[in-house]
Amino acid sequence: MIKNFVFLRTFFLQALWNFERLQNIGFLYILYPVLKGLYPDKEKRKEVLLRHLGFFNTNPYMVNIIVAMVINSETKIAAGKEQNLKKPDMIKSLMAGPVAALGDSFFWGTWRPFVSFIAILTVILSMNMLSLNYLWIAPVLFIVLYNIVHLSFRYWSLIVSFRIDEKMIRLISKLEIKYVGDIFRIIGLIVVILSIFFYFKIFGMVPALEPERFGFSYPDAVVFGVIMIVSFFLGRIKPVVMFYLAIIFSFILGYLGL
Amino acid sequence: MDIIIFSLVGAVLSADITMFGQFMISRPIFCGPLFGYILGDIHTGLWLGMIVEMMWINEIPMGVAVPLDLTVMTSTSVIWVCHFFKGSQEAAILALAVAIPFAYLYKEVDVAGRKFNTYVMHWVEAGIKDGKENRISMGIYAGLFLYIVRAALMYFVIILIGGLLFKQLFSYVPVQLYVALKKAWYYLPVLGFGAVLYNFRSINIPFIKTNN
Repeated sequence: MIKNFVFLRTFFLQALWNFERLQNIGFLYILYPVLKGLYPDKEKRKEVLLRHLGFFNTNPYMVNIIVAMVINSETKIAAGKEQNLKKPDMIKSLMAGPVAALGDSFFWGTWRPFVSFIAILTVILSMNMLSLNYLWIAPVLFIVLYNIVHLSFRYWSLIVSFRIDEKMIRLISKLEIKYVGDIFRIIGLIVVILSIFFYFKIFGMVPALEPERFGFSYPDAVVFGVIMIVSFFLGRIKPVVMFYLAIIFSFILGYLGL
Repeated sequence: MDIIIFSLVGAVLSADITMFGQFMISRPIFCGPLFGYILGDIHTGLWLGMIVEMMWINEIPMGVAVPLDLTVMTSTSVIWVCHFFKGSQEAAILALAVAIPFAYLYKEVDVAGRKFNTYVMHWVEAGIKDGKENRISMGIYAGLFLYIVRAALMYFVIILIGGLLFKQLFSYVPVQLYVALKKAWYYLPVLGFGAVLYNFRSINIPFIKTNN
């Protein structure tokens, strides 16, 4: 029961995100009901609460691992089985960076883009094969797919970390998240290539406007290809600059009648 | 009345970026079609959402970096175009072009709000020292509440002022720009594909040596 309560509270981790200590109050908010149970004495509890007010920052999807390990540690301290009062702080400071790197790389860098690509392919396919009435499938698919993995991982990591405590570090390293990420990146690339193919097929294989000006007609796919190659090689440029450049480019093409 | 509801819905969606949950309801590919669906033009919403999603694929909240609010950018442009010029592809691209500066303005307000959170954090800390433990929960709910209020007010102002600006601008669009906006409707997703492919430049494909 308390685990479910803690799980729900983890969604508030960043509700009081601040530039000085980032997620410190959010983390304390998650722990508070447990600490209240472990330390009935108010003065003793005050010391513990103040211990958790330091700087804390990690990936919000990975925080459950740290939460469970810190609760386990606090439980041992409260029961007198652990003498090192700095242990919970050590767990927080030592674990926050590495698990954040894993979370950032997998969830932000791989899974979210991957699910976005699936949704985008669905949009393009629904314009080609399905009726426009099915356009709603893409955003729904995006949210459902993303959250199946996201929520399952958050809940699983909390429950398992409670049970196996520090062995969770070994388990996470055995999961080969980087390898799994690489597989999704390859599948993602295939999905993107399919999206490009269908996009070019649907919107690119039509004669350009006013072809008579240059005496020949060509499919827009040629312009699409040029834009895509330029965009790829100018990948470091800020998207906002690219956006306005594309409008200017379109304006020049429109002016030339291409 | 509608503008108040849209502002509140937008604020709740934007809160998903960092403040609560991170269920990705804030992503353009979801919030664009959502507002499109509400206003009766899911196609435009989805298209704009797809463009923003691909072009700003790397815009994510990491560390102390405050990301550009893609939710406000997508939502407001979809609301404007569906309200004033439903179904117009040219208007949709212009709406997005007008919404981008507002997204930067929104980001600055967000930064100021997060700076204010530091005062709330110190207030919570002082409370704990005084034995007022309820300030932990109050601080969290206050942070979330202030964010929603701040975001809803910003949405309200952007939808209202930006909408009027967009409507006026579109009525003065010259023919060449009108054609350009029509072309950009099809070119921008391609630009997005290029940006997405750029992300794959260091991918490890078995049997193929790539730079990593």
